[in-house]
Amino acid sequence: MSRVRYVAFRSVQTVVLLFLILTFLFFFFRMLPGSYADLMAFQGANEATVEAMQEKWGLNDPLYVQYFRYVTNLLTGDAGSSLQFRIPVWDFVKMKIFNSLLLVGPAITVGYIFGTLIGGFLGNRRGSKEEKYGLIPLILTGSFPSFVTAIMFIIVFAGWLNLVPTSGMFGFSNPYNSSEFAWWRPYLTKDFAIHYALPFLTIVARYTYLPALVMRTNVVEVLGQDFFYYHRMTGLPGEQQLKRLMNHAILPVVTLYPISMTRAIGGLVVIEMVFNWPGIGYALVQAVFARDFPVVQFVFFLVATFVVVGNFAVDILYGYIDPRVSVDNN
Amino acid sequence: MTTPLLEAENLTVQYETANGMLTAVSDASFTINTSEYFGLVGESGCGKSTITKAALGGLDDNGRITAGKIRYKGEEIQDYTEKEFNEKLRWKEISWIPQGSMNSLDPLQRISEQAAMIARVHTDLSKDEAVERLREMFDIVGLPKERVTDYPHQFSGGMQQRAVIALALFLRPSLLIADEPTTALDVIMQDQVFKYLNEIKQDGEIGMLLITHDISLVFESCDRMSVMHAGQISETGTVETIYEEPHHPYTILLKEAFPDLRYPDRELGIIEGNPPQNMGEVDYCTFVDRCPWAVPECQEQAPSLEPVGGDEDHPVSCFRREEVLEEYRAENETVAQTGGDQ
Repeated sequence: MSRVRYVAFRSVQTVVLLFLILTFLFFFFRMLPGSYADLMAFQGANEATVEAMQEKWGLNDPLYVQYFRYVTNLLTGDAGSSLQFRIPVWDFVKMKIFNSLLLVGPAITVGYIFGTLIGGFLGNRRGSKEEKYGLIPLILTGSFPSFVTAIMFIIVFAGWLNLVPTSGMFGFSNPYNSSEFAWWRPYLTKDFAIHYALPFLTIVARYTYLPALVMRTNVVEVLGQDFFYYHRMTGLPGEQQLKRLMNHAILPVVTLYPISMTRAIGGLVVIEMVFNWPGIGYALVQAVFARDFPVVQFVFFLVATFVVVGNFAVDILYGYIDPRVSVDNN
Repeated sequence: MTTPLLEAENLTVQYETANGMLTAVSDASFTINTSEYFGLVGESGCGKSTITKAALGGLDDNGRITAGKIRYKGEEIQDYTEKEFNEKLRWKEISWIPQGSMNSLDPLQRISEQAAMIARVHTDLSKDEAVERLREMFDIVGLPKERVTDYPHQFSGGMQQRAVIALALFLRPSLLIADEPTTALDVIMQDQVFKYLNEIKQDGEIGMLLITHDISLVFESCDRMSVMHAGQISETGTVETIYEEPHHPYTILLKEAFPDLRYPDRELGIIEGNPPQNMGEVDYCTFVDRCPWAVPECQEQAPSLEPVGGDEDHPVSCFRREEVLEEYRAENETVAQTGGDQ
């Protein structure tokens, strides 16, 4: 199969898969007990008001009519409105997704870079004391639940040392946090940076362990391979050998990275809650409690899209970095 | 006398194991002359591969040359650092065909890329020149020239083996160490590979150390040979001498264990027992437990390689080197006679 045909085939597959996910999500959330209307009635809204609202929003129509309407609207770029906040879903989630991406994306990336370097270093010194004990601190930080690490960081850095604020994304005194300035202006302040530090570190601590462990194992494995001994015997100097070693050992880490990165778009609920970070993970939990289906559905769909497209991208990318899985010539 | 290409002198290699020092090679001596094909045969685990690794500076982490010398073109190399091996010997002077050729090529590199990388490290050849040389070698080993840019997984096992041979030769080394180069191949491929190796030999310039457990392969393709058993070299000589006049008990029995085309009905001999694990210093003949001609002396002292029948070019490490062959022949005549009566 040629590369073009493969990409075309996989694209069609991806679209079909996403449509199935969308359908599943739509019906799945409607099977949840309770609805937004029930919640309003429970909170004391009078029956006529609730009924009028149901009618106005089309929630009294048969499910397949709602479904058809939802899908066609989504195709035109309209994901509906948030039931809680009465604003378009996209307007509600876009800044929250941005905040999550801004925090989780770089943090996981840095964790992976650290982890890969540390794991590569330890594996390369197989049999030494460093290799034996070097992973212990990583295993500790990596296996602590995130909220424990987060709270410890808060106690030490925000409490005892009083270097950074305990939570939030901006302080009250951030002068750029008003509608007079462009939306991105507050992010370029020292105020943002100090709020960013702790959640960032927490995620780095959490996501260094996995790549480090995988990388160490890979390096040890590659070192034992015949082709690596052959490289050595052909007289490659140390730095060249190291390059070949890393080229091989990093392959499984490349597969893991996008999987971890899907966390970025879905948000890391626990960390966002502990640090009161206005990200999508936190917003999603609130939306589920409020039975705010348009928001929940859209965010889940976005996460699913990210995972599916991400895997697709990795498959294509892998063909370039590992000729053995290339779709050409086979 | 000219300087030999490769020379091992009383070489002892030991591996550090949980049970103490394991002696893989003890007191081994042999010389390979310029553009000579030299065979080293012996049973599994007798130290053949350890000798190649020692000559290339590639012993495992727990292995060490504890005594003796290895000289390449007269220069002692046993104490070379990794850097010296890289800069002075590997691939430029001594190249290597590994035992497991199937897994020796880097799966992420095109073969031409790997060749260009090796050439860049050792020579001033440009990438194109290096690949062109590899193309020539591909032609010689019988691979399609245009496939130098293939990845190893696109080759069959036999093709990979030939690619590895091409890689071993493309920088025109003076010594080729071939460690079981054809074990993984069927007999037809084996024959072809040796056809190529013999062709290269015609051009002179290259010597080969052929490591194998297939004694007939050595008889066919080498000039001189050594026979090894359990870390000791039993006998060295021209292939004709070893074939016609083996004087060491192990060589005699080994030859007996191989089928002979001229006597297809002959019953093959068996060397009874297992090779020993030699721990620590070896001050006995390692064949003693399996040797039908052993005398008490064999237990007390390790025999050294001494000329047999006054022939300096045919050293044998056996205390009874002058008698064994005659005794063996006398015995076998009786066997042949009684066998004839049945």
